[in-house]
Amino acid sequence: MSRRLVLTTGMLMKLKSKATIVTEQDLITACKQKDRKAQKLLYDRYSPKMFGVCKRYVKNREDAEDVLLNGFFRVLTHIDTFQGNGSFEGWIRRIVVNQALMFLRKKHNFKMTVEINNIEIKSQISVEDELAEQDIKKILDKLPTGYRTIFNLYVIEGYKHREIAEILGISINTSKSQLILAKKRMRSLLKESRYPDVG
Amino acid sequence: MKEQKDIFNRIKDNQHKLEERPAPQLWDRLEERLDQAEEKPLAIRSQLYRRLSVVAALIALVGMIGLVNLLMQQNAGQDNAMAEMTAAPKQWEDLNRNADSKTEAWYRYAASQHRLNQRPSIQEGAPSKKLVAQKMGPQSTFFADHRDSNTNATVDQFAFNSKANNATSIRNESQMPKEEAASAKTAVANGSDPISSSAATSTVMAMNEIGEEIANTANDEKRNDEAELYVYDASDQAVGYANPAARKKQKPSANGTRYQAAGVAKEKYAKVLGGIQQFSWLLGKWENETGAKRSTESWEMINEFTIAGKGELTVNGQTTFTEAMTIQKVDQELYYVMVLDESGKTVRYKLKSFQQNEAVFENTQIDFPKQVILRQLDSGNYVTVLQNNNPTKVGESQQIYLNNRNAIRKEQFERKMSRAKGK
Repeated sequence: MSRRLVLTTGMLMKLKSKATIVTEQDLITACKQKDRKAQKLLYDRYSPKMFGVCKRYVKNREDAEDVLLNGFFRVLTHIDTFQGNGSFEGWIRRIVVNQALMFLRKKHNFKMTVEINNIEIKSQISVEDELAEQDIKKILDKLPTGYRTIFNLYVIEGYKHREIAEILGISINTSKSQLILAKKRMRSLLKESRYPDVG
Repeated sequence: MKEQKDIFNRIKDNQHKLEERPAPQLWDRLEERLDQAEEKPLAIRSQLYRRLSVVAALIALVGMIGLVNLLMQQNAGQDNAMAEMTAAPKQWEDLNRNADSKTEAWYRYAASQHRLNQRPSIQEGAPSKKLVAQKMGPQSTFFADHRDSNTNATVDQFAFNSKANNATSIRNESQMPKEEAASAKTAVANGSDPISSSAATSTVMAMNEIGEEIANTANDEKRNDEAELYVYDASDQAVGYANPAARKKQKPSANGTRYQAAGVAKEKYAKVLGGIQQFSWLLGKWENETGAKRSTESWEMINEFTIAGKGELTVNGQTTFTEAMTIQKVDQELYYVMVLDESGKTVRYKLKSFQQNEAVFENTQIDFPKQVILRQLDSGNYVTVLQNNNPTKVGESQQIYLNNRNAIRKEQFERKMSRAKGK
């Protein structure tokens, strides 16, 4: 049944002009054929979200762009390996996260360099439950790389500590304690950004 | 406790706010890479053909050698037989007729000579022997001596000096007062600028004279026991750039003519003193645009010892900051020279390692940064990182200076540049 479905979409692709890509499956099929328009479409569809992911892992904007570029390059050149089980977006996200981790590993080695007093201008933020983009950015930017990475992997990506330990080459306990420390730090950072004089 | 849980969930719930369309140029870069990747299979195939052809050529070569050997052996056998023969066979007579005046004794002699000549100088199958290529001819250029005995140094310093209107000066340390020479040496050791400590006494020469000087020195075998230390110093130039008034006086085009003036000697130097070439990827223009801030770097090769970079920061089109960096070769070492604060004092960082597109320059005498790292990225961009391996407090004035440099990060001063469009 599924084979027939794939066949029909394939035939549809042939019948329709390359520009009319409707479903995600169409898009994937066209990208597998290295159709540049489809590749651009895929990029346009997923790059904003994935750029958000990159920015969560990597602080510097240019670096985030580099990671995004490498991620999409890999997505588009390895799209043949996407089996079609599970979500396509999840597959892309895993690749992008992987690129971000590769970048961090190469660069940071999870030991860090110089702490300098921050000279950004702090703005007063009204106390609401909803966090503004600036808040999130600020909190993530100020979080040390180790904390941030583990926070991203555990809270947002939903990895287990065991998996994180494996990915980052650290112990499970380190992963756990880093997460607790991350929580602590984030709390104080939030406080600081809302009541700058106290912080 | 509730608050702790809250913050995670809050960020998780709001993380989509970080979503943003990346810069439109990014797709162009991606497309470029995709194009390259699609061309690659062809390249790989041609590489395969090339390898195959190399293998085929090797096989042919080995075959030829074997054939030649075989023929030689056969010849040798014939010669032996000829030498042992007392009476010549029919063919022999024919040969004899053709060679008219040559006697049997001559042939015997020729055969023995042939065997003598044929004796191989290298015995095959003897693993203890190896073929050593030896280069003949005059061996002692001063560079070789230079390497051997650079402790006993006569120091010639080629200094770029903006005060002297960028004319280049040659100084011979032996002509300097002794204390001065010593102070210059310690200054080098401290990583600061040896020129400024004794610039007043420097003898200034025009560059075409330097060209001759280089050529003469290279040929001068009397200086065997002396070693030279060439110091191209761009530090004064750097100060000049920090000061806009001095900058106006400079004529960048003068560098080019000077370079040419070194003439033939240049090539000799380039061969022996390779090293600065490692940084040829840096040459050209770089830029980084963040909002209204736009910083540019442009690097050019001044000569075979020095590449110089000019950095500029413009905010809304107004130039707010300029600086000069150089990478230079001094003796056998490479240095990165830059200014770190408002004082305009230059600091040297010695190249410690250059691996995997990452050049690490280090100077442990400096509070911050101890390391300057030039890193080439896969994307074609490059980053300059100023860092210490251990957390360090950076003084406020230096912080302001480095921030003016458009160093974006706070835990590490870093400036990322991408290739400027149109070059």
